[in-house]
Amino acid sequence: MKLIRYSHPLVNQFGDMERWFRSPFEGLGNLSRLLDLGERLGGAAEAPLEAGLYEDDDHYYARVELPGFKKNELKVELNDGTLIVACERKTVSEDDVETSDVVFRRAMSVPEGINADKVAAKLEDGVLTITLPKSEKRKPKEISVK
Amino acid sequence: MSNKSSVKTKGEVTTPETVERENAVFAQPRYKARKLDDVEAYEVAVVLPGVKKKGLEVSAEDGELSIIGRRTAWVPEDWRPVCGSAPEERPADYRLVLSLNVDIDSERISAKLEDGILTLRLPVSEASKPKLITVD
Repeated sequence: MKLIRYSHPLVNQFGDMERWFRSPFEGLGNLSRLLDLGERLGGAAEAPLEAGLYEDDDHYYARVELPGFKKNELKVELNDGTLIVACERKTVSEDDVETSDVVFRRAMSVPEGINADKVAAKLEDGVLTITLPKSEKRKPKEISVK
Repeated sequence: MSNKSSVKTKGEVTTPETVERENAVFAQPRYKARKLDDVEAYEVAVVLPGVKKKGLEVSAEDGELSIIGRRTAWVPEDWRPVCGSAPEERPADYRLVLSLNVDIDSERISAKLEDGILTLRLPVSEASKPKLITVD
């Protein structure tokens, strides 16, 4: 029996997105600054921030924990096949000058087979979910055998 | 919640003890504690993504502040991970136990859960506040 290594058909196209989920939080080193808590965060064996890429028959889902951000501090953009997620931290100085710092930014190419017009994002309880609908030709179809 | 008092010295919230119980798998959340400047109270912020109000248990007793955050399901059952780009195990619920070196008025603890961050305000109990004694 010959052993064939199975490769998910989308693995190459998802390359960027996979790499993103394996190490999504480069640049988030100083989490305490992000959360605006001032001092260094403590606690041993801290729970890592979870991230994952999932699918069902109709959609792909990217789910990322991003606690401490409000909806208006997150930007999710789909631009010509590139999906960008960025977190901003807005601060207002004493003389009312508003500064916006980008503290986290990830860009990835969205593979073919995604209906770009219908990509949606939701932030709930500090978890961001990006929903990417599969275009018709990517959906599994049952073929009847005659 | 009853206001239990115990003999304590300086007013500091110490670093935590992780209490391990058999057969209970919890993750310790990131947290930060500080004394507030303008009032006799401490603030503890705990990072609890994926936890809703109904999954939260906070109690202060016998010099310990205990926080349990039970997560809502990380993903629905019918979602399949895309080849290796997802955590293998469901993320654990959170548990944090802090030793309190100061008497807290547990009846007046206030809690706010927003954007996955729990912020607790722990007022120091009246009995342990420094009092000014006037000299006649």
